[in-house]
Amino acid sequence: MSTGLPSRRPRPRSSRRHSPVTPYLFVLPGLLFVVVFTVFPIGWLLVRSLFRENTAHPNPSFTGLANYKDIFSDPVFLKSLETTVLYVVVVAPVSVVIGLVIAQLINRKGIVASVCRTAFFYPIVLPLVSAATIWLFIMTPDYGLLTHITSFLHLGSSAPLANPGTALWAIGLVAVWRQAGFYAIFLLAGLQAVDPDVESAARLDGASSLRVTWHIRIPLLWPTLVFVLTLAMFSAFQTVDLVYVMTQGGPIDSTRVMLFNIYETAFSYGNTGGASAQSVVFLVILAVIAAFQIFVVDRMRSEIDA
Amino acid sequence: MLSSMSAALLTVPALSACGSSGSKSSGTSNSTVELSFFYPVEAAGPLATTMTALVNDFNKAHPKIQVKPSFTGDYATNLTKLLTTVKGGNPPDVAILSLGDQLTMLDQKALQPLNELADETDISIPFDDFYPAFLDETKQDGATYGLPFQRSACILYYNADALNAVGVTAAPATWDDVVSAGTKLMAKKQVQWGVQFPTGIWQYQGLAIEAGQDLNASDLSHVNFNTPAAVTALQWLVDLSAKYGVSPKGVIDGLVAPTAFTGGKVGILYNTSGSLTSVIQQSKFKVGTAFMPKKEAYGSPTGGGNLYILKDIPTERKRAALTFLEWMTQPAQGARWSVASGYIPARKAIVSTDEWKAFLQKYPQANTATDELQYAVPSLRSHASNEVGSALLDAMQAAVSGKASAASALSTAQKKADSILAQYR
Repeated sequence: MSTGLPSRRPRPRSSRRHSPVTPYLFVLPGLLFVVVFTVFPIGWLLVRSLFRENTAHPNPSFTGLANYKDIFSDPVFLKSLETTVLYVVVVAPVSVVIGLVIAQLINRKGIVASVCRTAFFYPIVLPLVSAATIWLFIMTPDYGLLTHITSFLHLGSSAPLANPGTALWAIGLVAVWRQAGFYAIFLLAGLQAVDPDVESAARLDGASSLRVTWHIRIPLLWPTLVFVLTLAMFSAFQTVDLVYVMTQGGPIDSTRVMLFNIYETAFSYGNTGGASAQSVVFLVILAVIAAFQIFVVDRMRSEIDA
Repeated sequence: MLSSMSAALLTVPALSACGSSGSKSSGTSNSTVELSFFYPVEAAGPLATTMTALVNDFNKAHPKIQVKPSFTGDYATNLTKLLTTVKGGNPPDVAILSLGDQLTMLDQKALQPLNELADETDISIPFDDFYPAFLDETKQDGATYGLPFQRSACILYYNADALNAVGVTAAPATWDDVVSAGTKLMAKKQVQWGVQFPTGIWQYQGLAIEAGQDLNASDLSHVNFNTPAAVTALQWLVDLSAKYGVSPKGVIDGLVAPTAFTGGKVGILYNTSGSLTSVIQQSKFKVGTAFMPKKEAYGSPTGGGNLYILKDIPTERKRAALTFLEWMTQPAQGARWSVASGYIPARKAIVSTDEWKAFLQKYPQANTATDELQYAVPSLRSHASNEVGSALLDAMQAAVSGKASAASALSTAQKKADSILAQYR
């Protein structure tokens, strides 16, 4: 207890005396949180994926890798894997590119730019389920807003969600609409960090706006771009809410992305073992992307800094 | 979905609290038993409001039992939530289930035999007064698991004014009648589309029966998806749009279709009789109803749900739950529910209530489903009903959107169903 008099002992020495344990104590709450809510569930998931447990076998029994064998011979799971990859490969880059275009458009001062900034950012503030419901109404066959517009333009009626060829992209459109403005905020920050002197120098040399963008801004923006692209890929992989609200995986499984299939396998079909094995595969894919982010992007960062 | 799940979670502390206070005193104490109750609605109209009013009245009449209703969405979502809560060891006390879902819950050994519970308690359930066609469906291995509550059949709704205007005075009675009426309606621009048949396995089962063979097999680990009758039925659905042009192409949402009909955009609608009251009240024209038109024969699946009590709940709550079931199925409540919806009265005593008689006077269409019961068979029943049903739905969607022929889509569905059901054989 302090006596009110300043201690003569220098502070660093007193803290050094506690040092072996103190840092761990500081880390402990966070570590506990991660262990309880991440490490333990993942371990438990791995264990469950080795047990057969479904409505035909309500009591779990050890089956080794049988669940994995089953899912890789299950056409529905394989189709969901394919659908997810296709969706990610298209939706993630498209939303980043549109985000970049938006960022370019709002990278200026003035009232118009800040109004636009708000407008583009607005969709991300909407709860996803509300956004999905709004778009569901817009895309309702025969009576929705979209079909009124296409009918007015004499393009016939349109029902993108009822058609297996277009349903996935209708969902992708909503995802892009929602996410692009969010990514634009990151990219805007990146653009504003570009040294104006470099740009002025290029312009003095007679470079057009397009050349400045292509040869100056984008290379300098590259680490931010890759970071945003990784974010976009995670977000696309984790798509499930839009599917749940808008199509329930249909028509003919054309929008059955992995996460929705996992959800249905576990909770609608009661197949805990199969769903656990699918989740492990899903986690492995996400881990690969995370590793890419950590190793490749960080290296690029340090190269640019150097 | 999240809100009702969290509502279910929130009731847990309350339930366990009252469980412990109940153990201190006997059953005649002043403690209140709280029950949670999952119910789905898959018919048109504000039925959730009526359900809440019914439950509130029960709570008023039974101060020692408080039932908390949770609306759980459609039947499939309802089953999903039930399976989740059962697996989590936290089931509701009472639930409404469809027939197919009853089997899935029985596979989980999650339902309480009601006849045993009635014997153990002094609560008498008038099992004999329920229509046997409905009650028998809830029996398995000698036990009765459910009390019929919101029962229905699939019927035909038609815009009688529009049909009269094109010279069709009799209700369509055959598949051909449906096509010709639809064609005339569209030729005279009475409607945007002649016919809407929702892309749902329940309604489709009716067509298969009419074409000559039910989708249900004789036991629960087989289904008849790949039969000539099933192919004929699905082909006709495809033809409604592809060949006759009386129906929109692609998947038709069963919950949106009634709105299109009552809005006058569609002339003929296949839908559950549970939507009857709402469809008639919302239509500005005269609504006619008829049996599902026949091919070889008439036919319809029975539909709707029954009331069940979950097995893994304390005895005290089971007793309260049975009191609730007994009250809900009394003629007064049954009549109120049937009048609000159009559901078929589940008990003989409901038919002779003044309320039901007055309703029939006003809406004679409400008799159609009751009369159709003579041709009705149980709705699709098999193990793993959600997964098997989803295989069939995929086939329907593939066929109506032109991605596969009816025959090959159904053959795929049969293979999927067989591989799922093999585990139960």
